[in-house]
Amino acid sequence: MCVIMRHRGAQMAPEVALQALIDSCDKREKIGVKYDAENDAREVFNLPTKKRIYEFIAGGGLEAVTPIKVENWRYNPKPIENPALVYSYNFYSGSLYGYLAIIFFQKTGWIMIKSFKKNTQQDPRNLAFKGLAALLGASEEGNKK
Amino acid sequence: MNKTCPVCGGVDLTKETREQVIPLEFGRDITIEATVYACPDCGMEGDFFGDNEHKIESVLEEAQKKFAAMIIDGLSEQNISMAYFERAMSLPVRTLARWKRGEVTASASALLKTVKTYPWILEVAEKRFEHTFAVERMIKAAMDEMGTALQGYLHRNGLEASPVVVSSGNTGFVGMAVRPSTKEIITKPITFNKETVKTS
Repeated sequence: MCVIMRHRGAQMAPEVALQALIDSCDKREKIGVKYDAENDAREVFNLPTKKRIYEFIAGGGLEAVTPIKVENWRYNPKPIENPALVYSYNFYSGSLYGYLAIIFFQKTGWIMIKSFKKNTQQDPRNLAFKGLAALLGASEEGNKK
Repeated sequence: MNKTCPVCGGVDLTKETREQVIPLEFGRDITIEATVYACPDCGMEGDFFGDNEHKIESVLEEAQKKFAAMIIDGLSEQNISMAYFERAMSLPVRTLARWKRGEVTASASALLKTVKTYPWILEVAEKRFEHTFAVERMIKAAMDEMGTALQGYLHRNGLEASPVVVSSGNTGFVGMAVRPSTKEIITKPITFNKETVKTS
């Protein structure tokens, strides 16, 4: 479920903002990555440069993306002249459960990747338990036979 | 000329150099001097103008060549000849020699790293990736690893182990009996399972 916080200015749907991000990554236009996000992408997702982050996103690397919330960028120095919203998402990449947050500057169309890291929330897929369940299931099948 | 913040348009961008660790395979990380811009107006920090991109790509390319040569050199220590590698993986003759000279692609590098980590994959490749053989070979490799780890544990704790096989009809049990090692018993009493084993 996506939570939409109170915000200034017009807002686009999280799905539209995500598509804008994918387009910007594809064209390498009006897109940037915050220092910490670049380090996390390198460390966690094995994406060592901005170029590889953009290629990954433009190539459909973000799987099963779900929006979390939309809110005003609280550190915006010019909230009136240059309104900016933060869109956050959960996503998967293989076995990793990730968290993505982007700042969308409404006037300029610039997008800054604010966070690109491992999700601290519990993975709803519960892969470890699924593996265990599969093992237990197989064992029960074996016992029945 | 001062560069402007691409995020908020601030004109007072500061530029500094920071040590940045580039994680590489097999734990051989490299530290580079990275350029970081910071905007005092919006607090945003980053390599806004791509100053580090070329530097990082160069480091990765060099590392890729270095790892390829290192892995190929290490194959002989594992009794894996280049000819065997090429035959098992259905690669053209002298492919590894080209990789070793630095003509290595990302996919070649990925294959080399896979073989270095799981050398038995060559045996699986030789059997044309037949599923049953692949699974059995993987289990054997896992058991070998477990055996090595167990041996280390026993040695560190002055213990010895013998296999125990119990079978009845169609049901069998394979286990392990663990006891203090003979050497330890002769030299000193050992507390084992809360009982003291007396030396004779």
